[in-house]
Amino acid sequence: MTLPRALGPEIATPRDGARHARHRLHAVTRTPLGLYGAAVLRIGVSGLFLLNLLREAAHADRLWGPGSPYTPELFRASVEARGADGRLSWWYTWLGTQSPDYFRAAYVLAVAVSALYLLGWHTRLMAVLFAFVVAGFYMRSAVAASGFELLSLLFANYLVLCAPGRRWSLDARRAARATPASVSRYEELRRRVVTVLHNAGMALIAFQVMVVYGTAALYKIRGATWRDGSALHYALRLDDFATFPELSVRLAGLGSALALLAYVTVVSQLLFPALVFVPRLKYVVLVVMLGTHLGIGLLMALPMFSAITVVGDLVFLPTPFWLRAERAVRRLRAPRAKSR
Amino acid sequence: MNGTDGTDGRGDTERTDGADLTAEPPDPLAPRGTPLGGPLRAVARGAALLVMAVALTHMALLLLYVGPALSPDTARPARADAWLRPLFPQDWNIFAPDPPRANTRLEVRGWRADRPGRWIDLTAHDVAAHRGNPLPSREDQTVLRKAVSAHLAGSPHTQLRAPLTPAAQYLRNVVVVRLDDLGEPRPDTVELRLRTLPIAPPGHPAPAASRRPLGTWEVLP
Repeated sequence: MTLPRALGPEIATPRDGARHARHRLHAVTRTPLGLYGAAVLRIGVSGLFLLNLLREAAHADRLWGPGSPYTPELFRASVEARGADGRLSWWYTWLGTQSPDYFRAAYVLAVAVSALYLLGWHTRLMAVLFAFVVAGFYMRSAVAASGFELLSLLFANYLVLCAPGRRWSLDARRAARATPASVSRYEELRRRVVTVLHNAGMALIAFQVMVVYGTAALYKIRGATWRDGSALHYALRLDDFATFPELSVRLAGLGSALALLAYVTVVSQLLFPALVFVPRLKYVVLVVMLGTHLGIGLLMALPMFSAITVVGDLVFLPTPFWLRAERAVRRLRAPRAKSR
Repeated sequence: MNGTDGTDGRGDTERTDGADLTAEPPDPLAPRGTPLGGPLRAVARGAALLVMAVALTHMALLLLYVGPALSPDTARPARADAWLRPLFPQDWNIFAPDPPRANTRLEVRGWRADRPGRWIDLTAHDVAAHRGNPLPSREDQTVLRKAVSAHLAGSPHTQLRAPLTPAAQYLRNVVVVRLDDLGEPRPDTVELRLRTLPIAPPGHPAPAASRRPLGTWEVLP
């Protein structure tokens, strides 16, 4: 069953409504929804975080380590200035260290945890460790954080509730090989609670993505340049966000087509939270989002941010989509395996 | 979920060509539907309702947290702030309400023994670093820009040797690191100014460029 279908079946009469509500409560405690979506999110978020760590290997000390211009003293002072979060603050302040050796160990831990979480090895434990690592790295360089770091933190946190290791993971392979034993009543209870947590986590992730788009659109509606269609005229001429300035300036000269693109951007973001639950239309919205993000990633020097928003969009693809994708990949690989 | 478990076909769905291939394979760790009996069922229901209540609370506070930010004068409700910060921060105003309508350049010069060095455009380094580079380092692309905007968002200090805000200290440290990278000798003080190059509005000439001083700050040994 897909997440949207579980959340919104057709309701004709109040009695139907009550029956559906009971049915839905039943489903939410018995059936983990969107297991493939959770796995895709796990692979996408941990893969991008790992890529980011490795890409910044030469810059790690300056971004997160004792060599940062945001010195450990400034970091500590900012944590203390915010105050109040005392007892649990070690969860996200653990990277504020003066010691290069401690930092090197933390960096190696972050790489190892990201890689193991990506593979889905002891996923439950790795999910918690990954959230711990991401929170520490995010907070240490929050002064220079962009949307990529922010979304990594949010997804890593929500994924702690989910069961993202049930598909496409080492854990799933091991579980498939094990002979199924009968399930005791306490084990059944545990599984039901885990299922509710997973479903709540997936709903929170979907809601968070909808908040991201809805808020981004509402912010833009306040701006005069988004209303008169000239926003992209300016955005494409910003030196800070131009990977290929000649191409950007050529696009910026398109005039009314560019204004139309600005309106499509705002309208698609604004309607995303509603349209993403409409059976066929949602693919159109997701393709528009994909196009927007590819454009932003390639032209506007925001590749990691674009990549992680695409991963967030993938949560809305239903399980049958991923099953078909899996089948297509198997077919592509099968002839090669035979010829070997 | 039940009867499909326990057969030997779980690992090789690719061979069962006649079956419905879009059917989800069973999840061996899913609940089996084993009857729980009275007290345990109550525990399961209670846990389910609790989890759902917390999730809905989180969603409601998330809306309350981002909602007031949309109208500039409303403050965030303290309860939403306490719930969501620092682990669930929200900041989705990229290029909004309006994209910047000018390019800005941070220019600095070091002073040694009361003599000024040359002016250096530090932003130029960042711009060059991500030209044609599909995966630029954050250090070359985001650090300086965010340090400048964080400083501008606070109260800028322009006096020499005044106690600096944390944002100003950070910006100064970023500048010192950059000057060191460029092979400049370590200065006693750094002088910062911001050059603003407005982008021409559609169909109009660009407004004139301008400069504003950001301050002259002591560099600690």
